[in-house]
Amino acid sequence: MVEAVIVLRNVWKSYREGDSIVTVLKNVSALFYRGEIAGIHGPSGSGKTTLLRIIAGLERPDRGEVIVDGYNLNMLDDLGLAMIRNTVVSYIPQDYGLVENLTVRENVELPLLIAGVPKEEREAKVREALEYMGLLTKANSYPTRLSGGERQRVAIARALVTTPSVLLADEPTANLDWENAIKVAEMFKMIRRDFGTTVLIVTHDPRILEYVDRSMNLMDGVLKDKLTSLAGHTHNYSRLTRRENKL
Amino acid sequence: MLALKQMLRGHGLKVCLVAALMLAILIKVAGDKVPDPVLVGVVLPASASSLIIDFRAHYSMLRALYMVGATPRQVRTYVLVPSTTLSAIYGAPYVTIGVVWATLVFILSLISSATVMMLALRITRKGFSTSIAMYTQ
Repeated sequence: MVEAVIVLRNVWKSYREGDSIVTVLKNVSALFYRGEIAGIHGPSGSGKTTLLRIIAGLERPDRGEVIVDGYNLNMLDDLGLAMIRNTVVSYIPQDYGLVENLTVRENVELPLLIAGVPKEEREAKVREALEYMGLLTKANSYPTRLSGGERQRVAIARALVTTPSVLLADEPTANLDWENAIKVAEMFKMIRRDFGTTVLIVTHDPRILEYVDRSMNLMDGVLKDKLTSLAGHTHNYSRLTRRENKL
Repeated sequence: MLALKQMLRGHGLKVCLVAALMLAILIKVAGDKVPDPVLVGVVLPASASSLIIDFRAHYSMLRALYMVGATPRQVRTYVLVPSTTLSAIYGAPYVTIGVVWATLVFILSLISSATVMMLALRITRKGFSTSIAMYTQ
């Protein structure tokens, strides 16, 4: 049986733009399974990034339920959401979100530093992540000295260093040429194979969708792939409760 | 540590040290000719600009901290360390004209610099959450 690692139920999200209210997500429901690479596509302003940020715990939905790897994000406070971002979900923004004043090594080390991982363990994990992404020779470089493809790999290394269950990538190929875009898409496949990570890619590039297991269309805040039933999926709610109590 | 690293690699700390040195010289040479409130007043823009010069760096660090799951306490620490350090440096030259003045400068400088850091934090948070819920809370 396939385990649902992300559960979205009737998620609504609105923003205020001047005097008007824009509803970005309208009753979005979906399931994403462990180890799958899913793609969400749609035009600009359709709510793709907002959906990703909600799953990452960076924003809260106005209504609806979001469960990620057994954690009900609605029931978590700011500290709980921070823990989720540090250990369960990794988010890669479109501009990679790297700190320019920190070297590649320090950027990748950041999530471990936050988590309070001891120095020796931290160094070993960073080295492993950099080696995995082929960036060991660039460890002491600053992000401004790297190409777009290399920066993307640094962002992926930083996202992977905590071995999260879910990897969220916002337009990962938007700033790359086609050759580098293919490399990044292949990298996501490699990550899924080696770590069993669920990868969720938001893109408006239809060519990238050839590399995903399942694609969904988000148009005007409505996701086409609707949640039909939770039956048949081993979503373990007793584990959910236990984890929430722990938080 | 991260905040100190950012400060050492940025320009703000250097600007602060030079400005504090100039203030120390000013106090020593012309301290009796310039009214104390004026001497204190110049600290407000000086401390704010010492952080504004590294605003982009602080903003990108705060954003990264949010993304990688820094706790609210860790974020608060990151906001306070540069403000406190710069305020202490700006307050130091005023010890020569009195501890009360030095304390006042430290507090004013802290308010000024913390406001800049809070602005960076607010922009970071707003970037991630601009929902109606935020406006109606």
